[in-house]
Amino acid sequence: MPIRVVNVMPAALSGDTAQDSECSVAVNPVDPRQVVVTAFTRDPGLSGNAPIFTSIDGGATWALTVCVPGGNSTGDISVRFGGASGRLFGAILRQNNSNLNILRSATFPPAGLMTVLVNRSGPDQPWVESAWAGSGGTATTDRVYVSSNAGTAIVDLSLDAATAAAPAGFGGAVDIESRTGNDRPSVRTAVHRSGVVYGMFVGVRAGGSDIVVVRDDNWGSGGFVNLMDPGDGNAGRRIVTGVTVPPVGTLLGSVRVSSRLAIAVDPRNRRRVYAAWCDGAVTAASPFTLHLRRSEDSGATWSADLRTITRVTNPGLAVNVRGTVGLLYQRLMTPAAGNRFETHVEISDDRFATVREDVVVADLPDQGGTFDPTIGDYANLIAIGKDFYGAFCGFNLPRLANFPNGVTYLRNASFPTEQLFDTDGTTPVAASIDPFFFHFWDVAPEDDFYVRDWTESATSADTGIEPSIRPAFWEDPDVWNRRGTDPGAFPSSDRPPNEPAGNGAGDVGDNWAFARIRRRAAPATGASQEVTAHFLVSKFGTGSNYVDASSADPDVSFPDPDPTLTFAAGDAGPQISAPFHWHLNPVSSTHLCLAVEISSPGDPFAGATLRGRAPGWPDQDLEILDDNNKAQRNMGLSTTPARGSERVLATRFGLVHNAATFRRDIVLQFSIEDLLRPGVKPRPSVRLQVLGAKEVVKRTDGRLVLEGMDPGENRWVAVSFIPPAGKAGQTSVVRMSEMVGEAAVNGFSVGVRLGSPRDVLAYTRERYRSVFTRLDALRPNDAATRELDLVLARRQKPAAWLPGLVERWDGIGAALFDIAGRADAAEIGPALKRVEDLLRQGSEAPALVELCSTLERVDARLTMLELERGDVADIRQTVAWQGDLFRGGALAKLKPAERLEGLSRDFVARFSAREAHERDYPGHVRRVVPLLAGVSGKAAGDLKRLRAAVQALETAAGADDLAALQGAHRAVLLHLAAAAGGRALP
Amino acid sequence: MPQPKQGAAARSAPFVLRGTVQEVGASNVSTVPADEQTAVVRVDEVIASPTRFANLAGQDITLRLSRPARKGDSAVFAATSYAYGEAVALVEVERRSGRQAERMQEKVVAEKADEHDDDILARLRAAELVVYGKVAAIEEPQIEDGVGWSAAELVIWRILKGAPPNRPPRVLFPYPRTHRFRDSPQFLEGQEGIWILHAIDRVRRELGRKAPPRLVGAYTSLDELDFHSPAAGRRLRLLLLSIGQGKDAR
Repeated sequence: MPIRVVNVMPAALSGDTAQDSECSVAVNPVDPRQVVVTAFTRDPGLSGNAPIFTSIDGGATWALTVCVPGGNSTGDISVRFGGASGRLFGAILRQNNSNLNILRSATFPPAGLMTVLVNRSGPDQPWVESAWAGSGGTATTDRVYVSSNAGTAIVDLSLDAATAAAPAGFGGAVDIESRTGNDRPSVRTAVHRSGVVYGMFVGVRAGGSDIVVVRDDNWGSGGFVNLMDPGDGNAGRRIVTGVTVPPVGTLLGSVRVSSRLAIAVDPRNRRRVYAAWCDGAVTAASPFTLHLRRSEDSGATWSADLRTITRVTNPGLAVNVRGTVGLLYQRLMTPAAGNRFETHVEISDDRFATVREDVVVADLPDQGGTFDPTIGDYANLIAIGKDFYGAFCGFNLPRLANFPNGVTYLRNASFPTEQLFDTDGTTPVAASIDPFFFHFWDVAPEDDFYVRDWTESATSADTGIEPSIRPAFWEDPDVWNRRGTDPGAFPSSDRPPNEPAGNGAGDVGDNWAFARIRRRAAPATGASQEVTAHFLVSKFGTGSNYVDASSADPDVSFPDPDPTLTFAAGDAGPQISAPFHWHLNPVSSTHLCLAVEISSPGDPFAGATLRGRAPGWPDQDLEILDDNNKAQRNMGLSTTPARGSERVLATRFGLVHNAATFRRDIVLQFSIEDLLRPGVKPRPSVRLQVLGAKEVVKRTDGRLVLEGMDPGENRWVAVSFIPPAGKAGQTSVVRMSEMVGEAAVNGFSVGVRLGSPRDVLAYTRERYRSVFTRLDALRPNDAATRELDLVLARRQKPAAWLPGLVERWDGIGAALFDIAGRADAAEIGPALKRVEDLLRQGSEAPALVELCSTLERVDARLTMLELERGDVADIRQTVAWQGDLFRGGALAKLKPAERLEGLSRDFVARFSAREAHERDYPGHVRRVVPLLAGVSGKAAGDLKRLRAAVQALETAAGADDLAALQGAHRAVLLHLAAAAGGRALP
Repeated sequence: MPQPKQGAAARSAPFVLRGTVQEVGASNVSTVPADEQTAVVRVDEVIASPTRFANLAGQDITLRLSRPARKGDSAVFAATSYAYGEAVALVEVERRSGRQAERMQEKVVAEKADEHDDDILARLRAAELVVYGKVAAIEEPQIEDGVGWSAAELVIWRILKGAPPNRPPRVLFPYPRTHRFRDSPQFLEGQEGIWILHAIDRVRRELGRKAPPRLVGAYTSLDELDFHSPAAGRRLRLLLLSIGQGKDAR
């Protein structure tokens, strides 16, 4: 893969001979052209303030920008950018008094001095990390962590650091050391956007040093006590104990060493964390040695060494959005000609089971230092999107052989004569220690194709950065549906012209999916590249698993092959995919989510396909945001009168599905857009209610907790609001974000599009047709068939349609109420009565709104009935759940557990690799039924009912009904899970 | 608009340059966006600057202007650091043209010459002891809070300020140098010179973390202006006299 290495000393400072050592690097995740490198560099103008190296072109060219207060240079310094705010944060030790300063700049490059947020004496080696958090709506907050050593390891943190005046949310430091003793200077954190924050430090004890990892599961606000050590019961898991970490001042070559460590969390999996450190007495018998280890369970247990490399300092670790890991280190080599430091970046695609690439970025003589630390107490590696960026320091002699992958010098240098020159180009300059920047592209921009996750306007939209920065990624992505083969005209907002799906026989159920695809950079020359768009659908809501052409789902079919787009040289797009035909059968609701996964030979989508899964599950936490190859649309709008309607409530439903393989509380963060908020006439107010629950939530933002949902369980959330008044065409939504920790992994939005009376009538008639199509298919009766025939025949003029309903209402109402069920969880009965009253009053607009809401209730109820049997989309999840049940806990002790777990794991792996499909599911079930039958004889609980469930599964395995088979399988697993968990059987 | 007292800003500005505005609304440093406040200025003469920029004359630099300027304007600009990229970019703090420029230039030249003496005087005022002598012995370094400290034992030939110590002074210095003390003088056995010495206890109080170790009766000379060659003896004596602290003043 390509790598760019740049000596960042700018041309105007060609005469520099100072020791510019100890680097950190930051890249703006919103605009990766903005890059910062820091070092012990003094302001050459001696202004009394210190500089940082800045680039606005991705690191190709650099300037030294003077913006740091506290003296002509700093002590230790590190930097990070925030999130969508684009703010630059820094943590320094001031030169003039050694105080810790936490700094912020609102502009880049900073114009003037950075703002001091925190100024206090005490700690050493401050290190800043940052992340951004979605609040469930469109807003984000910058979370900033400054770790340092004040004798023991501490962390200063702010949960909203972007804009507030000093101290901008920073409070007192959190002491993350729970044991007695001092800690070495290096303290690092790694932040996952779900709110999980890891910390790492070296604890000095009587018998040697501990390498300690701490964790906080709520953005650090809990004091970093979520990871306990099983050995002593204290907070902070000791990866190793009793190792030798030398005191500051011990030399490796000419470089002083002591605590050297790095930690990184996989953005795709908050539980997967990597840690690297160096230990050893720096002797022949005990060389200073780098160790790299990994935890798959949030730090509770750790692997053996994945890498063990001697004579190494300054490790750096980063994990990109694909889960690819980068390891940076500087290794002392001792050839006869003199000591050298090789700077390596190792890249691994398989969690460091193997090293895919070992890139020697530089191989530089160990010389040029005039003070400690000669090349610094740290170097730095970070990942932004798919790319890795790093900074390190070394001797700047311009010799090509020292840079095996090439290098660019901005300062005056002659490589043929291996001589640096001053700004006049003729006066020789002695070599010294300079900072170097590198950019490693894991996917070249020319190969990086993407689908926008959001479009706000023609000038403000997703540019393909990873992660994209709008948490509500499901509202305006570049994947959309149409009822014909025309992709539609784009409005001035440049948002795709999505149309609700149609369901039914023949062309009524025909739909076409489109995706608009771009490339991050267009090569001037070269071969064309082909990009394939793969479309999937799932039930509307959050957590519903996706199906595609291979799923054999009776509700939906995909007759067309995946469309392919050809990008010639010079073409960065956008290109719109050819119409992709998909058909929605009469039984299916039109409330659906649409997703696309694009792939090309050089840029496959990351991780597993969405088929059989929902975004975020089981372990790709933020995959839509993190992977610009995937996009999902999940928004439903009802058309309501633009003049508003105070007398009735408009209601829509979202399905909440537990896509996990364990019982859990599902947390939905909701927020309400302006038009639907209180204060807007005529006093719209939003009500949220989980069907079957009594509580009605009337707040404008907050959280709904759906407690104790079993794997695969579905619940419905009703969103009701008084239709607001406004201009036709205006939209406003209620956003429901499914939170994992503090990150929105998925979600849906429901709301209104204000329309003319004619728009409202047309919308309601289409919903009427759609719901009666389903009713006729699932619960046929005379009234339903008659109504469907009438609305399809379009014999009635629209204006006569509503009065006609009044005349037939008794039959219509009876047909609709027929599916309500005894409990009438969807409250269809009272709704029918309200519609009837409004119809008989002749109140057209309120009647249409109420009728539409009633149809939504019926639609939701029909989906409930359909899903009670089972769901083809849940096959992968069910098998994965089965595997997890027998992997741990009480069931793992049973004799067939290992076999069951193995069969399950194999099916899921083959399913994810597209080697197994839904049609292979009956075969899998037939293999596991005897084993499950064996278990049923041993498991605790109500054995009789469990055995009956297994027998029902065996029967279903012989029938040709995949949904029913999944339903029977799930019933067995529910019994087993209850038995294993000591709960009452379902 | 009232102008600040002539030379007040220039005195504190590291750069005082005579130049001619080449283009307004322009920049020749890519990270400095061109706008109505920026101008490219040809440096005609360097009146004062940090040493490494003494050869700026003839070069174009970018100035962030403190007030509007026009193409062709010639003036003396007092400026401080902004950015250093393809070229030098400075922030203007003061500007004078015509006869005012000449007066400012004269004043700056005189004041900049005094500036170095002011810095040495500050060190002399703060010192407990100023001595002329040589290094009799160097002690092995010891580590304190991650920093290595050596001690030079001095033989005193003459005391310029302060009372004679009870025993030969030991001068702690960082060895090896660290970033914080990157400019601190280091000493060799037999080295002669003039030391401006500061008592260790006071230095420790001032430095906080990373201070030299507590050593009874020890001194430091951590600033680059705290050690001078014997040739500077007469000048230092005169400076001490000027503040009433020289031995000859008694």
